[in-house]
Amino acid sequence: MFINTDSIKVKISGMNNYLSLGQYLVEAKYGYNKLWSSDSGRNLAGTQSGTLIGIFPKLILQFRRLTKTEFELIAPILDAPSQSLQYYDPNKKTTVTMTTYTGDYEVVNKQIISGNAKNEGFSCSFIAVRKRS
Amino acid sequence: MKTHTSNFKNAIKTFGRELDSKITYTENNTTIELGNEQLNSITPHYEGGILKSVMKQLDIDSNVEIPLGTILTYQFGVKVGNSYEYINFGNYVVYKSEKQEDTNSYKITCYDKMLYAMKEYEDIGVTYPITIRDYITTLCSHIGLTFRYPTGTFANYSKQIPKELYLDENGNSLGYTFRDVLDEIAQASASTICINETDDTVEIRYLNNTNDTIDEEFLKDVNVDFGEKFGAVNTIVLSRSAGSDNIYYPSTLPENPVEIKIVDNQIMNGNDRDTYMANIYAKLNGLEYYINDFSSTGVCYYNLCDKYNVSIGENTYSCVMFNDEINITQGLQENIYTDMPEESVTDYTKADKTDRRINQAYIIVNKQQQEITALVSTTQDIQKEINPTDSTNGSSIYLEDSTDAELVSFEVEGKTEQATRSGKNLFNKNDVTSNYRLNSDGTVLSSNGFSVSNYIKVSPSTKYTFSRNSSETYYGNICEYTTSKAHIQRLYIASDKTSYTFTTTSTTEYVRISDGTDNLNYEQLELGNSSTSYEEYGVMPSPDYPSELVSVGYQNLFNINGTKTNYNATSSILNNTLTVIATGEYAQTNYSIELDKGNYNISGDYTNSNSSLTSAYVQIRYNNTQLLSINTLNMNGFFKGTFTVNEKGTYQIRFSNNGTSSVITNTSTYTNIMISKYGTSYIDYGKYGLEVVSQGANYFDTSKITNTNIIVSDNGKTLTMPIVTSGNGITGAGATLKQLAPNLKVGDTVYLYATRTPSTYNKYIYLHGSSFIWNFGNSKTITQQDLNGNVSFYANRYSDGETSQVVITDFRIVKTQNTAWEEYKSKKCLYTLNEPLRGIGNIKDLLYIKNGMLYVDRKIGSVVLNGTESDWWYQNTQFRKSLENAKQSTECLSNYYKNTGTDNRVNIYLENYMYIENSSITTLESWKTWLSTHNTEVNYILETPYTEELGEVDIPVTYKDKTHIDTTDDLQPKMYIDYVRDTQLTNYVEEHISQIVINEEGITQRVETIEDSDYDSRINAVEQRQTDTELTVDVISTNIDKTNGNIQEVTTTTGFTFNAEGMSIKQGDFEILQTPQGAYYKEGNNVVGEYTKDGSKQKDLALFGVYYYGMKDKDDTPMFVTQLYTDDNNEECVGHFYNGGN
Repeated sequence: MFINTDSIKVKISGMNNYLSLGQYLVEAKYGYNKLWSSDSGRNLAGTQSGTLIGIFPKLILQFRRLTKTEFELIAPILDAPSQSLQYYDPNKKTTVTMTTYTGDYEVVNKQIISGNAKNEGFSCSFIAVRKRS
Repeated sequence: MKTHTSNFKNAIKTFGRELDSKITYTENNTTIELGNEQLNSITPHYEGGILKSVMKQLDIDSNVEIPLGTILTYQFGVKVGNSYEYINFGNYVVYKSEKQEDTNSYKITCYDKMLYAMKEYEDIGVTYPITIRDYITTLCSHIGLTFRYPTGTFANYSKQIPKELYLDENGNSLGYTFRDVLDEIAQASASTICINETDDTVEIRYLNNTNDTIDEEFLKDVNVDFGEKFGAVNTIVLSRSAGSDNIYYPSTLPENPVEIKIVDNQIMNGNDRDTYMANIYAKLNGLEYYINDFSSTGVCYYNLCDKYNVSIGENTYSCVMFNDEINITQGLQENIYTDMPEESVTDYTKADKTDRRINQAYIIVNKQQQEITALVSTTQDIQKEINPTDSTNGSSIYLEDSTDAELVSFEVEGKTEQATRSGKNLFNKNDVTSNYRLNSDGTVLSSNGFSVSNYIKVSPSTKYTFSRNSSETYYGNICEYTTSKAHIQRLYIASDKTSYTFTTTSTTEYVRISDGTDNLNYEQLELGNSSTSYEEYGVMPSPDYPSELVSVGYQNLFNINGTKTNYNATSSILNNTLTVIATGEYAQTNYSIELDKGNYNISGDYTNSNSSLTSAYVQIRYNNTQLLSINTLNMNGFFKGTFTVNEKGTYQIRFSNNGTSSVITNTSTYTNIMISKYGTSYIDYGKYGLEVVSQGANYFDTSKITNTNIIVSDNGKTLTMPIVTSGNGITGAGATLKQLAPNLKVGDTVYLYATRTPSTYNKYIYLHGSSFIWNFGNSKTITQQDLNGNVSFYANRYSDGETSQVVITDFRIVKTQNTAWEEYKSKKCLYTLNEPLRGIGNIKDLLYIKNGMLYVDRKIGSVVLNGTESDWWYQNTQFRKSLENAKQSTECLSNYYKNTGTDNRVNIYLENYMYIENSSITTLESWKTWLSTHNTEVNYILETPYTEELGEVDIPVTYKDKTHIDTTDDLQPKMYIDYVRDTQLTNYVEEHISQIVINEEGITQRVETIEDSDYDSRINAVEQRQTDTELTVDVISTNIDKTNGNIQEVTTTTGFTFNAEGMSIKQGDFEILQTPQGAYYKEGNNVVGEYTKDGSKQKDLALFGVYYYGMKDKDDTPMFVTQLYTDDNNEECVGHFYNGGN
């Protein structure tokens, strides 16, 4: 849940401090995805049975148009194999830090002909590597 | 079952369960814990069964390499609420590890510590014969394991392994592994042998009925097969020689035998193998379960050998956990199956009931010597017929003609006692006013030293007698009163009168008595004109004066699961062990326990983790006063002490593992904690114990002397004292009389004998407890103080000039005057019972041992009424209740009510129900309320007695010549025994029978010709066999002079020389077996007897034929036996040594 501009912070290896992403975002979508074991199914009584491996949070962040300088700051984070991301978790009622990997992202540049090309807004997913404790 | 909560059972079958795994081990002194992040999969599994050993396996797929040989612990957890509840799968040894390059992980194979048994068997350094229990204890120790029951019992635990079975004569391997040997012990003990998951000990495990049921919610919807039912087992077969030699049990074959067959077991391969079968049968009889093969969504908490039920629809299947595989990945699946035991059908027409038959030859494969031996087994039937036994009984048995043997039969009668009072004493010493006496007008006036009673109800015109102590110094008065308590008259009792009889007036309804306060405990007012023995006031038992029912069997009064409090400590209970972790100064865990008046023992074992302790103890406290304190400072040890309770109340048992003001780290464990009135062997809380002690003539165990300055030698016969250079020579034994003579009891009258050299001084010992000098040769009645006190001997009395070293010989404490010294011999058997042994009148419970198994015939029932019973009703002023299996209109006992009496206030009778009359209570509600605070025990005679079977036990023994057999029970129950007498016949037969297993050709045929009923012929046959077989043939070059028959000289290979001058013996003594065929024997140089075929001396008889020379097995006595021969006149004769011309 986004409760203030510092509700989502991220850091990758080599960074000393977390970078607050609120200033770059227009939307954040929080997904709490359940992962079930392959033993899931119905038991002999017909009751659904199975092991919940865990809940793996997934944040889909919609970035606004970024300036060249801004994008140069953000891109290494998105391209890193893993990130440390902090977000406010309504279940835990506190800020949770998790290791994530990112999904693919695409940035569109328009007005190339006019010479005023700018980055359009884009979205990128941050998916937890481990289940939420 | 593995330890778990009901929440675990619910959580593991709940949709959306969450799982966790933990592996913990130590590497380079660092504890490492692997969790789900490092572990890809875990698979614990085993393939087990009955009558075998089982090794559990753990397969791990890990991202982390674990070094080979590492001992790791695996725990599996399910989330219950907000945290995981883990169950312990035990410890495993990393046996193999393979790198899986494709996944960059490790495939690790682990086994539990049964792995240590997977090596070739080798000499384990035991002395044979040895009991199976001692053998497995030593075997486990040899391979680095601990046997769980070194003093416990299991089927056939006391059976003897006669010799090394798994190595050849030269100590070379026969190809067995230690695991093979454990398999054979599992068969002999009718068990499964495995590693205990909690403490890594080697466990003899029997089926454990969990009474737990799993239903369809635990089962997957595929692969669920429940097949036919196996059992119920009703027959045991021991098989050898490729199935050609089978014996079965029980002797009466069931109509449809369902058998368990044990094949070629080396332990049960002797001619006593049939003696194993009853105990195996007792464990396996009735075993039944369903064959099954099913996949589960995960149960995880069953252990090997757990019995459980599977409920599917209308069907319930009883199953046993023998094979299990739990696949733990991201999810969980458990595969369980139990097969039918190996198919086995015995041809019973070719099998026999036992090996105890004459005319029966068996073939035994002797793996040690790699040969096949014909075995003729004949002993038991003969032994039964000709062994003389005798019977006796008593609460304390003393035998003077016993021998070294187990009792042939042993029984103990139940007994119930309680203190009773008739109510004859009308004077209540607890209802008096002190420092007052009766005035002449019937009022009271202040007077120091006197006490005056309350009004006592009496009858008019009736004779009463008042009695009191003979040493009274105060005069007494009796005042009589009317119904309205108006004074009638005052009677005077002179101080020198011990009794005073008076007749009440026609209007007297009450009396009061005043007398000296110091006389209260002796004052009695009773009906009649004579004084009778003193009895305290109040009918007992009655609601006001209850009286406990005491039956045979002591209890452990300490409940480890009882109420406890901690101070600067945390405590926990697991497996009968109290663990206390000190967290601060004066750390302690305290228990509260209700105790009656009396003497108590407390005992137990303890360990500490901190070797630097300065204060740790177990204490008994009452009202903040310390009654007993026992130091527990060692790393491990036992605590033991006695204390006296003078006042009934709540006592505190304190376990303090840091008694200082410093904060230290210490974890202590306390196990086998027991508080008891007289039993000393540990029993569980809620059980009852009966100790039976066999004791030789000498009660003093010199091996218990702990003062190392006193040298004990010659098996305790000689005590060499230190030389002292001051004082009177007093030298402590370092032990109490109770420790030195553990079987002496308070009230025993015993004699002390010893010989002191030099004999001038100090011919006594010193009992500190009573500051008592006990002279050699004197008797003494033992007191508790004597038992509690330390014993001191006396060395040289230096203060009177005695400087030479003192030697005390033949020191003994005996119960019979002038009994000679003998080595201390004692054996204590403990019998653990579910209930005490009770008795009402002549109807008594009966404990007995049969075929090594303990049984109790229950003839008395018991019920404790506490008001929660739902079947009370009130009718005819009686509170009535049904009582199943109670015998109608028979005697019963209660702690609150008498069974007899004329008033209806306090009576119990039994018809098809029981009822209690209590005239002070008139409603059912108030009756139940009263019962809730006055729990009422009723013992009653059973309409249909029943028998409890309590498993295999030790059998009490007798010793050669003199044996005392006692119980330690306070009630001294009566015992009945049959024992083997020590007679010449016994010895004679034993010697022969000990030789009866033979290989010599021809002997078998001789025995086979004997009619079973021909007793004498049997004796002779045995005797002849002795002649033929026991002795090593030693053909002596006798050099006989045929002209006169004289022997010139005979020399045996072992150095005995006989010559023509009378066969003087050059080495030791010898004797020759007396036989009807004739023989000659001497003791030393004295001719004791000579025998020939017609009983006459034939001193010049020539010596022909072969002489046999050998050593008797029993006592290594050298002996000669001659052989029959036929002389020139065709007469049968016997060889005869020339005796020197007498």
